[in-house]
Amino acid sequence: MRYRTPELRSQLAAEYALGLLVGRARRRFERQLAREPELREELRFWNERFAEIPASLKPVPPRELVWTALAQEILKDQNKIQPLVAPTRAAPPAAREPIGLYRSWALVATLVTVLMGVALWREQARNSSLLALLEVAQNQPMPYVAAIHFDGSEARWAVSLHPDKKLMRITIAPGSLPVDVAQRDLELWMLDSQGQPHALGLLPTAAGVPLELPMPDMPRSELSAMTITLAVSEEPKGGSPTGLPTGKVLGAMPAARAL
Amino acid sequence: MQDAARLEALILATAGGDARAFRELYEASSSHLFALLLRMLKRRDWAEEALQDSLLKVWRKSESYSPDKGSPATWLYTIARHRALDLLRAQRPEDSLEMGEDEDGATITMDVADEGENPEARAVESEGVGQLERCMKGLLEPERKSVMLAYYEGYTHPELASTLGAPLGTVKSWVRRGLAKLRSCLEG
Repeated sequence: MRYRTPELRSQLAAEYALGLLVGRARRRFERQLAREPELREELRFWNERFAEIPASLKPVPPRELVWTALAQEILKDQNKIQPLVAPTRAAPPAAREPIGLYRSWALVATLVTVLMGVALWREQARNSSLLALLEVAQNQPMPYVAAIHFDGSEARWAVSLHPDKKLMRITIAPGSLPVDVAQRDLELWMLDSQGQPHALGLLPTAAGVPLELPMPDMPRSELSAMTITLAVSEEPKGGSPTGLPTGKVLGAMPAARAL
Repeated sequence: MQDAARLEALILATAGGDARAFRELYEASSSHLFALLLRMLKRRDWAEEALQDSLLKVWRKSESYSPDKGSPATWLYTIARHRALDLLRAQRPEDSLEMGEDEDGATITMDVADEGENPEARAVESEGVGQLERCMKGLLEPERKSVMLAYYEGYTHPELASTLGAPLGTVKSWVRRGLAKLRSCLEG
């Protein structure tokens, strides 16, 4: 049964939007919502109005660790949905003779082997995933690579940036670090042509699998040079709270296109 | 947040699996959503975790956004607010409603009448003037407080009654009258 008056409809929609309706009242409201377009319109009205409450708050940039964690999840998702070899079945398998199936399999297997061979030959010194190896074989732009090391400490990092894939990979050769990692983190930046820093992510501080992160969006012109400049600053745990370096800059280093 | 058309385009591109568009969406929205989460959860580490959860949901469920259901900013705020409400409600049974601890172990007063104890909450207090904010000024203090506590803390009527120290019936009528005043002011 419909709610009696427009006032009651408005009242309940507002209370529902705030989360004040519970139990039977809430279930009844949700049932009516499915039936009454006016009620949906009223709920939409209140949702839009209540969204003005947080919109009046002053924005606060989160620390880089939020993006770093999200980026890891995104890459996992993407690797799940990107098959290494594109689907090759043109028709359902049942419609094929077995010999056709074997022939297709052999062709695909050969193709993969050749691609991997070419890729391995070109990339043998680089510690890359299979996905990246196949990309290189498809003749895509070479990544920028940089080695990072600070005087007075042992740890070394290898950073490669793949602008075409919007991907960055960092590996660490562990050793003593220039900061106390219980207190501080090391944040990697890319300097644009104006010298403005753009956050890339936190440097890993312990051995592990190579860290893969998406690169932030940069204008194409910034990523066409033969070398770009990276910098590392020490920041509070979790990264700069402002989106710009806040601590001591430990060093800047060039990253050059790997030829 | 940026204009609706831009956000909408980014959400739609994200739904198509475009990670670059998602990064742009993150840049356009994260500091706004984070301000809300910090205001609700009071602790930076909780707010960051909630932000991560919310945006991961945006990444994975962006195809569920539909422009006819509301503006993109409202959709994003709603996801973040619901995540924070889940966390707040999960804490409530064992945790006192009045107190929280921040990362450094300092105790924060959560009484909305006095947000001054927490520098982060103070830093994010309001600056813009929207239609709702203007209309809120026409509410009596207990009416305004009830609406704000429901929005930011997710309190139910009985929780409002116990927090505001008033009988349940009184609190219900504060809410009802406050919302009716808002409706007529927003229409006017």
